[in-house]
Amino acid sequence: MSADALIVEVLGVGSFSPGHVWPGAAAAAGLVDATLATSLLPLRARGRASPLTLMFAHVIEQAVAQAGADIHSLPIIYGSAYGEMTTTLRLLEMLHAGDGRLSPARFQASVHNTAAGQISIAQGNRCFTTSLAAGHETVAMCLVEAWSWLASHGEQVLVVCADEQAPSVLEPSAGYEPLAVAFLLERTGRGRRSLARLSALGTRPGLGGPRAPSDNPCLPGLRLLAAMVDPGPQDVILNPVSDLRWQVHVQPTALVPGNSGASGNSRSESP
Amino acid sequence: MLPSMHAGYPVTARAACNALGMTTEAVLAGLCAGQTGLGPAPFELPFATAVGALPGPLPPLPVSLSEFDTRLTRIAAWLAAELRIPLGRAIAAWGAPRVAIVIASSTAGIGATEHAFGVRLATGSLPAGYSLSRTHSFQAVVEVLRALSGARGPGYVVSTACSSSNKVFGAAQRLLSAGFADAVLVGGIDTLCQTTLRGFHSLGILSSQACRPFGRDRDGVSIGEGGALLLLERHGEGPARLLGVGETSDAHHMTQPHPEGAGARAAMELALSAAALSPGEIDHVNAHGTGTPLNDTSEALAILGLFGVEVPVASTKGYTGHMLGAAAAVEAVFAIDAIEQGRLPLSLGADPPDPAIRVQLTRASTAQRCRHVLSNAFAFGGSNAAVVFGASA
Repeated sequence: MSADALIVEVLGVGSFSPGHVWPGAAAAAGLVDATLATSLLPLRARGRASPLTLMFAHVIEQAVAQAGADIHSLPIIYGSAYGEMTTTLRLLEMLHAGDGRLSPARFQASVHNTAAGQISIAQGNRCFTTSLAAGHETVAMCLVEAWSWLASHGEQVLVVCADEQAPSVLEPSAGYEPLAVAFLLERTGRGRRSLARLSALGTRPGLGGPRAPSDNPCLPGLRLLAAMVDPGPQDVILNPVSDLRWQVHVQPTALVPGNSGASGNSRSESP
Repeated sequence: MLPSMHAGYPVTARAACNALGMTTEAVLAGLCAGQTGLGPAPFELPFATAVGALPGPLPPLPVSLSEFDTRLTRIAAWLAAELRIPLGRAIAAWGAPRVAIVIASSTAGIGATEHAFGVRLATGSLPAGYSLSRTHSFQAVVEVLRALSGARGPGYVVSTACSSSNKVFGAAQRLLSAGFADAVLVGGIDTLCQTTLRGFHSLGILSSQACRPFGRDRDGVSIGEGGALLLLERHGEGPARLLGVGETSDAHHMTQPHPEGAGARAAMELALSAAALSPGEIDHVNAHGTGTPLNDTSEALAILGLFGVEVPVASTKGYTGHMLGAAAAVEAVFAIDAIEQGRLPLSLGADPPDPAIRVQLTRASTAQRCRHVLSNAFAFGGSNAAVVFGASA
């Protein structure tokens, strides 16, 4: 099937966005999601996991629970512009200290697909996973990969995008907070309740959306999530200022986030 | 249900550089001659090892791209220069927005960041021109290739450690099949750096000498650098076709493969299924064959279980070292050469071979007609990817 014709249902979402301002109706709904908690990894692994891996696990667990999906058989697309930055910085400190020996545990946990590996081991998931990076187009390219997967391979795929807090030691002007979002997507036509329907993923003439130096590269994911709470359909721009504008059409459907009727959704309304 | 790619997508151009040479011609000549490109590291290390370093200089990027200038992006530019004509033809034929770029890398700009971090520690400031988004970032290589080629389609990096540049073929096949692109520039690029060498040494899997994949005395990997770029198109003429890709997860261990190669075997089976081929139709396997005791044992078990002892198997990491995210793309060039030239490389380093390894290792450069070649790549995190190439019809 060509991606042009693909309509995708969003069955579950997850988010972790401390310090970020939700746009639109989501702000009015007072959605709060700044508490990181996950049971996806065993306790010992959780204690050693990086902020990035914990964020990935947290939002994956939310989205899977809301959708009532089976994580053991779910293909997962991971996206992060900068990956395991906390671990990388720690390795650089070790490299430049003393005899420059590196910790083997930290080295093996510095690869971009660390979370994919740890979560697949913890959950016994032997399916397709991939780990992408595309700078401030990471969310857009993860959706392109997801559409391509759904068009040719299967019915469901989980997309999860996250970036840690800006590494000020390498980019003093950045200053963004950590952010993670997850979307459990399914090809339309199976009659399941969904949060929103996505369609028309592609490029359009014109400039991309706004971008500030303080933007987490995964911020377009938050905009996409917020659009699912807004009352009306809209086109969400998925990449910042660029002459290549990636966007997707979002049609909210009947299911409201946090009111799915499914268990395990930890997103809550503020008092 | 996997998509069937019976006809496949043609590989219409390719370029490679690594320890064997700075050009595709030199690389393939070195492979044919059975010569190792491994040698001493070009920088100081507190332990003995052999590496696969590029044998020639890399010119800096054009001034307009100077903020992206790193060793990794210089390799990308160097390879893109060898593909200037076919890339230009593809963009003219399909249109710039229809040409995508999917590149694999595990090191990205870490080499430059190692230096920048040290400068900051010493002086309190980062070096002039250093930028997280343009120096360190994975996406920098895509931005450079976009600028140099003019391609304006989807562009991203796949980074799943050592399986990355087999997975880019899966991504390309999906982009073509879904209609997001009509041509995809795929590849993999990685550089030697302190972090990688010291990291593998800390894990106890870095050999102190040239690696010996499938050898009785193998004791670890040798790290290499370099890269390859290949152009896949919806239709066209080329030396080979991409027929099938299989991607799985071991779900076993972060750095050790499943002991019986279960995930690896599943990836090979998926690739064969996508290619609509039976194991008996594979003429040669380019193994992942890193030279670690565990990988080579488990991979050999997987190959043996699927193909028996009939198919000739070679690891080429004894020539180039393990180029991590770039390895599989370079080995795709080797696989295509086997098809085009009817020539299998010696499995360098397996001398003497491990008697417990029962697959048929190539003991010399061998003339053999190859219609179908399978190439493996397995990674940290238990990521497995197998790719099948076939002769053009």
